[in-house]
This record gives sequence, C-alpha cells and structure tokens, in this order.
Amino acid sequence: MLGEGIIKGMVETARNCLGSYVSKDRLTTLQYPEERAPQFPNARQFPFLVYDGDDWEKGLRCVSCQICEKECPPKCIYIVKSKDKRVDYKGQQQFYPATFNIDISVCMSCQICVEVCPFESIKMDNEFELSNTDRFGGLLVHKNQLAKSNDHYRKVHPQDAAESDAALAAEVAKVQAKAKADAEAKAKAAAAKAAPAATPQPSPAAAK
Amino acid sequence: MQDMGALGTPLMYAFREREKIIDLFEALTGARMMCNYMRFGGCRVDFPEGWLAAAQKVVDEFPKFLDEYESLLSSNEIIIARSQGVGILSQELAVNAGVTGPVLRAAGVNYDIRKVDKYGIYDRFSFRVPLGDHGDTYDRYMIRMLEMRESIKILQQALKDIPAGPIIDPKAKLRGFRPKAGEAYGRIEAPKGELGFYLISDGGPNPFRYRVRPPSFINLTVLEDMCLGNTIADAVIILGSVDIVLGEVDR
Ligand code: SF4
Ligand code: SF4
Repeated sequence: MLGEGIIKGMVETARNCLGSYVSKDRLTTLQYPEERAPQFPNARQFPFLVYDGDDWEKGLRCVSCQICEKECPPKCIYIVKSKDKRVDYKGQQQFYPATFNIDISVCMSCQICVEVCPFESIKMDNEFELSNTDRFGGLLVHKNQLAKSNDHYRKVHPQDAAESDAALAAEVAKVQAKAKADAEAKAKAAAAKAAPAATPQPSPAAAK
Repeated sequence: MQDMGALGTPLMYAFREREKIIDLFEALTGARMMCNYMRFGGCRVDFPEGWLAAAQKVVDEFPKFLDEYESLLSSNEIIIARSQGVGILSQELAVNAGVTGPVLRAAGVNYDIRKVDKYGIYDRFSFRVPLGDHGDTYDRYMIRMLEMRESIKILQQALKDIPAGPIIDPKAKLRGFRPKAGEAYGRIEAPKGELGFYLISDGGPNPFRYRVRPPSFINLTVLEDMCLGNTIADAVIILGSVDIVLGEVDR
C-alpha cells in the first residue's frame, strides 16, 4: 500500500513523543542552564596556569621554558620570558613568564601542552561557559585570567592533582637532598682544598 | 537524508544516539571530539571504572535504535522515490576514479581494506562486507545501515576479548625520535573510505614529506558524473549520499 512506510515512520515518532512523557530514557534533553549534566571526572576544556600560595603572580609555577609554546599544534600560546629571575617553589632561581597568553578561540583542547610541561605548571580546566561578546579580545586570555590556584586544580581533577602534588613533592625533596649533598660536597671540597694547601706545591716541572 | 526533507526527526534521533557514544569518548579521554588518545605503542589513559560496562550497554542497545531509524526511513515512500535510481555510479568509474569506502561498495565492488589488508586485529573478527548492486543513492544509504550492524558485531566481539594489562609500551617514545631514512604508507578503512598516510623520512626528527590521502576528497571527484542527467534537486541528495567531511575536502 502506498504510504505504508510513511505511516510506519509516524508511528515510531508518536511512540517516542508520547513515550517521553512517561519514560525517562526517551527524554534525552536537559533544560540548560537550570539543569546541568554532570561532568566527567577527566573532562577537559582549556588550559590554565597553576599557582601555589595566595599570590598568583608570585606563585606561578611556570618557569617560561616555552616548551609548550613550541609543542602546541595550532600555536595558540604566546609567552614572553622575563628579563630577571626569581625564586620558584623549589627555592631555585628561575625565569617567569612576563606575558603568557592563550588564544582559546584557536586552542583545540588537545592537552599536549599539559603533557610536555616538565614543571606541572599548566593543566586543563573544565570550565566551559566561556561565551563572550568580544570575538577577538575576549577569547585571548591573559596571564591573570589563566592563573588559578592549586586548590582549584585539586577540585576539578582530584586524582591528577594528587599525582601532580606527589610528583612535585618528590621533586622538591630531590632538590633539597641535592642541595644538602651539594653543601656536604662543598664542605668536603673545602676541607680537601684546605688539606693540599698545607702541603707544599709541587714544582711545575715535577708535575709534567 | 536531511536534504530530502527528513530534517527533524531522524536527524534528532541519530543525535540522541551519537550523544551516548560521545559521552563514552568524553568519559574515557576527557574530550568529546579531539580525543587525543592514541599514542605510539599504546594509548594515554586506562578505562575509568565501569567504562567497559557502559560501552557494552551502548553497543547492546544500538541495534534497537537502528531498527527504529530504519522504520522511519528505509521503507518511506518519499525516500524511495527520491533516491532509487538517482545518482548512479558505475563500477568502472568508481574503480577508475579511486573512490573507496561505502560509496565504492554501494556500486558493488567488494573492496574493504579491513578484509584486504587484515591490518590490526581485524583478522580475528568475523564480519561481512555489505555490497550494493545498483550504485544509486538508496544503495549508499542502505550500505551504511548494514555496515552499522556489522560494526556492532565487531564491537561485540572486541568488547568480549579485550585483555587486561598495560596500556602502553614503556619503551615507546612519543617525541624527539628519528626514524630511519625511507618511506612508508599506512592505510586504514575509515568510515568514509581509504584513509592513508604517506611519510618520507630523511632521518631527521621531522618528516621530509607527509601527505594524507583523504577519502572524502577523492570520493567527491565523481560527484559531477553522478549528477549529470539528474535534476538540480537531486544534486543535493547525491552530495549528501557521498557523505563528505569538509575538513578533508578543503585542501
Ligand atoms: S590544549 Fe593543545 S591547543 Fe590548547 S594550548 Fe594546549 S597545546 Fe595548545
Ligand atoms: S607552562 Fe610549563 S612548558 Fe609552558 S612555559 Fe611554563 S613551565 Fe614551560
């Protein structure tokens, strides 16, 4: 019969339409923004910069090594290295980023910058409500907007944050151990230096 | 299909199912589309808890959705009237033009790289390759429906056999390696056809030459031959039946 196929389709549509009133499975939409779908634990949107402590400017972990800038596939990170150095979380003298911009209209959320960063300083955020009326300026996020505290990171990705904290703690411990070893070695070297200084210098001819 | 006036319902139903699949992607990799999951020698993260069960559920429910979808479209008189005998692609032309994927198989050529090359672990799965015999728009639609059912079969087998173990070869290097000088071509059966990557290395860290064989782009080249002799309104349907991704075509 002509039209049978169309009627079959209509029946299917009617079943779904009426079914959505009684069965939750058939109702697939959410009334955003009143209702929100839960986010997945490892959801990622755009990168942010982690800082420790209270002052975002002082606590930024980024040392401006520019690895992420080089590795970013669409080249949406722009970094200007600082001229001077300052003390970082390990207690070493390091550069810091004078400018750190990410153009999130270009960023494709690939997470490569996070993977290549050796200092655990850039991480993925799961903030997705970033719509803006300024198409160019509004989507170019600067250092001050990118900086978010480590607590924020712990909140959005608890598991990863724990791993990163552990890695950092190990790193700091290593540095401290090294500093201690260095200090001991220096002391030893100083002692050793003091010793040959007491013995008479061999003549250059004898040394050859 | 939406070009034929079936814009609302089937498309939205398909989106509903797509959402479930994309949710699986997001739960596993963190992103919906730019998954960035595969690595040389393995993959990036392991399954979160309960992911396999969720995937199994989606796979199990998918045939039901396909039945629903087909009851909307496959025997719909409007679809049949507008697509059968429209945009016929002959076997000869399809082979000569290098068309691959469902478009080629709808013309009746038995060529599926998963069967021809048996790459990866595809030799372990039992599945069939549906073939069309008219090469028209309706065949291309039907081939995709049948292929989805075959894909479900493959997924069922794959989910059953998936082994536990390390997810990545610890010796594999992700960056900064130098392949030996030479050239290589790798190809897979992508949803649109043969997706190939051709690389020439001169021994440095970056490829000397790198070229992608885009299936959509090559399938699109026969559009003119398929459209000739049909009405303008049919051209839209024929274009839709080639199923292009414009990212591949724009080059
Ligand atoms: S997520 Fe990817 S695209 Fe975005 S800034 Fe990082 S490396 Fe660049
Ligand atoms: S975010 Fe990491 S990789 Fe990028 S410049 Fe800062 S320290 Fe280097």
